[in-house]
Amino acid sequence: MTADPQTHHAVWEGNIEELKGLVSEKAFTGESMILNMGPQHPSTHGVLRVILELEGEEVLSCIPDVGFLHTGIEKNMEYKTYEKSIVMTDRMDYLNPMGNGLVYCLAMEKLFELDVPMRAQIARVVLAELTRINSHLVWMGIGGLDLGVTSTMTYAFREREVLLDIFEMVSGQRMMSTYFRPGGLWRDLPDEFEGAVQNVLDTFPAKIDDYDKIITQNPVFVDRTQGIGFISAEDAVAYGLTGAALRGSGVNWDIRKAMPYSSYEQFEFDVPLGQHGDVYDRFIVRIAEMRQSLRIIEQGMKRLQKEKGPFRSDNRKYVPPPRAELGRSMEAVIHHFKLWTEGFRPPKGEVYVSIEGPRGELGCFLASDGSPNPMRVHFRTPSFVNLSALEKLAKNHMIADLVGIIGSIDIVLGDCDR
Amino acid sequence: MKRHTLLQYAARSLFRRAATQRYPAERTPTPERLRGTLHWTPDGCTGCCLCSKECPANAIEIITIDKTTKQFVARYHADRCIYCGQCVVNCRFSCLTMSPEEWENAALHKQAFTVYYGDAPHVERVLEGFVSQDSASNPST
Ligand code: SF4
Ligand code: SF4
Repeated sequence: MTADPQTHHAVWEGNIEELKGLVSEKAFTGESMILNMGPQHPSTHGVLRVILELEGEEVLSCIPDVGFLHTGIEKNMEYKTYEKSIVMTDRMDYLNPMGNGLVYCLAMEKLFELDVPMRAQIARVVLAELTRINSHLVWMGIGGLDLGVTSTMTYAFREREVLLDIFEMVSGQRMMSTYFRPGGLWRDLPDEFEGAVQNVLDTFPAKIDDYDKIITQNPVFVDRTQGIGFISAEDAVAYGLTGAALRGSGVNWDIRKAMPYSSYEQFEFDVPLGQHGDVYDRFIVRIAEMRQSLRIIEQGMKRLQKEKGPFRSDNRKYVPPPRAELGRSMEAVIHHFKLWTEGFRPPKGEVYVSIEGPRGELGCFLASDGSPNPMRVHFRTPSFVNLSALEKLAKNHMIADLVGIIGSIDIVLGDCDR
Repeated sequence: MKRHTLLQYAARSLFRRAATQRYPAERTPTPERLRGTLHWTPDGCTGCCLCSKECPANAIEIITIDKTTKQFVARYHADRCIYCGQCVVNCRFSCLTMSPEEWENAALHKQAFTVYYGDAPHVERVLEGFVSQDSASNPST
C-alpha cells in the first residue's frame, strides 16, 4: 500500500498474478476488468472488500476478502476467566448480543454440567427471540435501503428502538447486555418486562404486515429480487449455508427444531421455507420468521407467569452467591471471594454447542485444560460461512444486483471476523 | 391498489406523533438498571481489590493511602470502562454504584476520563505524587 503523491489516497499496488486461479483468464488479457468494491462501501454492510471481475456490468467472479474488522476477540478470551469473557461475546455480532451470550453460556454449562432453572431457560428463549426480531428489523431496513425501498429503514429503526428499550430495562444496556450468565441470568426479569413485551406482541403483527406489503408489493423491489442470486438446495447444503439463506432454498433445517436447546422443544412454531432460493425468497423467509418469533415470545410470556422459580442455578462451584447471603453466611463469603479472585476451575474437556442465530448456525467450541481461563474458544459464525457462497450467488449477475445479494445473506462483519 | 401501500402508509404517518424526541429538551426516563457512570465511596472499603481484579477492562484501580486505617483512593478510567457492572456485583460493602441518571459522558479532554474518588486530602496526596501510584491490584499498569 502506498500513497498517490497527488491525491494522497492509498493505492493498492497488487499484482494481478496473485489472483491467478481466482479470476478467469480474460482478466489477464484485459478483456475483463478487476474492480475493488469496499472495504468502505455502504452496501457491503460493514468493512467487507469484494474483488470483482467484471465484463461490462456483469460479474464474472467475485472474491470476498474478509478480515478488516478483525477484533481478536477469540484470542482475547483466552486471557480472561470464563465469566469475564462473557462481555466479549456481546461485541462480536452486534445485532445479536443476546444470542452470542447464549451460545457461550450454553457451552460453559455443557462443559461444567451446570443446571439452568426453567425460568431462566424460558427467559432466555424470549430474549433470544426478541433479539432475532431486532436483528431482522435492521436487516430489513438496510436490505430495503440497498434495493431502493428507502422508507423501510426509518420504520425498522423506529420499531427496533422499542426492543432496545426492553433490553435496556432488563440488562442495563441497550446493546452490550451481558445478561446471560452461566447457570441462568444476571438478575431476575424486572416487573415492567411483562407489560413491555405485551406491547410488542400487540403492536408488532400489524407493523410486520405493513412492512411485508411495502416490500413485497413494491414492483421495483420485486423485479430486483426475483430470480436473482439463485442457489439450489444441494448447493446451499454443500456450501454449508445455514439460517434463512438455507431455508430460502427450501431446506428444512432449523437448529431450534433439529437439536433443541434451552427448552425450545416445548414451544410450538413453524419453520418458514422458501421455494426458489433467490433473494426474494430469503426476504420472505425472514419476514415470516419474525412472525414465528412473536408466536414463541407469546408462549414464553405465558409460561413465565407460571414459572416463578429461581433464575440462576445454586451450584456454588460456578455461581456466585446472591448478595443477601453474603451478610449471613461465612461460606457464601468464601465462595464469593474465591470466585471473584481466581475464577472457577472447570473439568478438562472440549464441547461444541450450536444455536440458531438470526443469521444461521452460531456455534461455540470451548476447550478447557482445567485452568480458570478457557484454553480455546472458537465461534462458528454464520456470517463467515454464508459469505463463502457469495461467488456462487453473484456469478453472471449485474453489479447492481450484487448489492441485493450481499444484503440477502445478511452478514455482519463483526460476526464474520471476530 | 398494489402501488398505493406506501402512499397510504405515508399519509397515515402524516397524522402520527413524531417518533423522534427533541433531545435534550425532552428525554425519556432511564430504567433503574441502566449502567451509567460509576461512583465509589471510601466508606466501608476494605481494599480487598475484588472490584479491580475482576474488571474485564482494567478500568478501576484501588490506591492504598494507609493500609492499617483502611484508607484508599479509587482511580477510575471512564474511557476504558465498558460499563459491565461487574465491579458493583463484586464489592461486598456496596462501595460501588452505577448511576442510572448519568449517561451523558462525552468530554472534550482526555483528562476528564480519569476520575479520582475518595476523601479530598487523600486524592490530593495521590495527585501530588506523595503516594506510590502503583496499586497493588492492577495488573495493567
Ligand atoms: S471490592 Fe469494594 S471493598 Fe474491595 S477494594 Fe473494591 S471497593 Fe473496596
Ligand atoms: S463497570 Fe465493568 S469495566 Fe467498568 S470499572 Fe466496573 S468492572 Fe470495570
